[in-house]
Amino acid sequence: MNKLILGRYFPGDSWLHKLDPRAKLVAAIGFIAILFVAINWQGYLLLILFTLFVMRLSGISLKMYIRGVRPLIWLILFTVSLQILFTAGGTVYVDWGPITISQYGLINGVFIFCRFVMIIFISTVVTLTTKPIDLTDGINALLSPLRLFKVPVDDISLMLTIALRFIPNLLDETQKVMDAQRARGTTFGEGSLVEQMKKLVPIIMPLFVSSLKRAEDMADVMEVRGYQSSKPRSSFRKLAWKRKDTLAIVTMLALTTTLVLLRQFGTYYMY
Amino acid sequence: MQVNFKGVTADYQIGPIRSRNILHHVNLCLPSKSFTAIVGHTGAGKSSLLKTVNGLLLPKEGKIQVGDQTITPELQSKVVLKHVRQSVGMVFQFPESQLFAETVEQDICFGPMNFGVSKEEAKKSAKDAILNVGLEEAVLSASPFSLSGGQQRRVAIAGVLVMNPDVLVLDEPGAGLDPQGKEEILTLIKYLHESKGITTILVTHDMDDVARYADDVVVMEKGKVVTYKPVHTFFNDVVQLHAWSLDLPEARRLQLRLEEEANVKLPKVCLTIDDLVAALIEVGLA
Repeated sequence: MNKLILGRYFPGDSWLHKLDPRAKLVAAIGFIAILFVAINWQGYLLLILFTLFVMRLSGISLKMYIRGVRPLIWLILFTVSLQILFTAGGTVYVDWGPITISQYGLINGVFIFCRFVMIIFISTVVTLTTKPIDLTDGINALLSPLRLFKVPVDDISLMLTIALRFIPNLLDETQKVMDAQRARGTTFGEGSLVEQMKKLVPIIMPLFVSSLKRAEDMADVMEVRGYQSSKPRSSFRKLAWKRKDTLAIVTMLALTTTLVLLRQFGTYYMY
Repeated sequence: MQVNFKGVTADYQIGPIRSRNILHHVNLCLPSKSFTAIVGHTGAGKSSLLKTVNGLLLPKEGKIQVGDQTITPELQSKVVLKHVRQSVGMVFQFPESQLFAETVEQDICFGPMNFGVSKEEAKKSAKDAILNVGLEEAVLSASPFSLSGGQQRRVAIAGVLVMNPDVLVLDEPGAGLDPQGKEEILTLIKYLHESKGITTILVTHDMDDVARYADDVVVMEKGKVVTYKPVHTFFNDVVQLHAWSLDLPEARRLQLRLEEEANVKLPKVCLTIDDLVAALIEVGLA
């Protein structure tokens, strides 16, 4: 229950912690986008160094980040092996009909692996250094242009806030229900996969019931206190754009430019 | 079945945060067939103490003996845990939140079947259990979610009682019920305690419950057991109770007030209204 690092906030006062959530979000999304600009080892090296630098800046130990990757490692390895086995080109090392291990396949595999890990690291940096409430404020601010197209931005960010707010409660409740069922003789982590999945029903069902009930109560309380989604809302916390936020965005732009240049003049590997 | 805590120290580890000594060197021996109430303020470690009884929380030091099974810090044996959990019935706070099955019958059968009882036998005991908690047999085929809160609570308790525990551990079984519902449930527990000789441990905040149902009282403070006494001696020491900021049962409060106003001393400590009336008649005040 406590192993999930992705999506968790880690209190601190590093440079990154103090960055405006809007800047962090834009930078992170930008970074993930330019991962796809890099096509050669020079580009990847630059990106990896940058990622390590940002992780260092967050003041959180590398161990935490590696724990964040661990739950996704099988997905990553699966994708990487597909890349390796089904990409042709360059020197062929193994050839079994449609399945080949080739030079290009191996290179692609390595690149995709790096890409995955960097996406996870960078998004972990954002969630580890940003309070959930700031994160939703940031998302709200970034989505606000969509209001022009009648997208219910405030509703979306309220939903996000509520969802994030109740994660700890849900974890508590899961623990309680698990204890109760264990006291009634269930043992977890035993038996075949199907058996283990069946054992989850006595946990999931009560959680569903209580979540739905809580949602209903919450909606009632909000209505009683006069909440109306159509009305314009002011905000208690104001986001302030500072010089360091501009600096972060400028750094991202510089990184992008460098990558584009490397794409032009560096060695050419991927296609 | 006797429950014996020997120097039990425990804490929770939640991620990187470790909360220090939720239980601190608890020594306590609850004899077989006793009815003990555990009182104390929020965060005193009452619920944690309950969890150590069936190994949901393993001690960091010390050991807990439940009958002939022993729970120790390095306990890894699933067999011992299974034995302990079979003999200790645990009713958590708001136990209705553990209901999950399509019908009440399936939910009640869940426990016994986990402990290897056959389906037919489990169904038979489910019938007994549902009657035991004062519901009708027809409820068995209903969905637990269609019942009222009080009925759900009874079903959940039936789901624990059906395993025929030798030790019954209850964490505020009356919380959130109306006074009548609460009284019915506690009377039921008292009845089961007396008729089947179940060793009962009850956590509560209500001193009237303590006075009415328990034989002995344990007071916990900051993870330690500060006193363990029979109910009558316990409510005699008004000054000490005040120091722990614990209330007195209603009848006892009334008795003290009467003694002060009428300047008499009643012959015994009265914990229920009936006691008090009897005592008043005895001294000729009523």
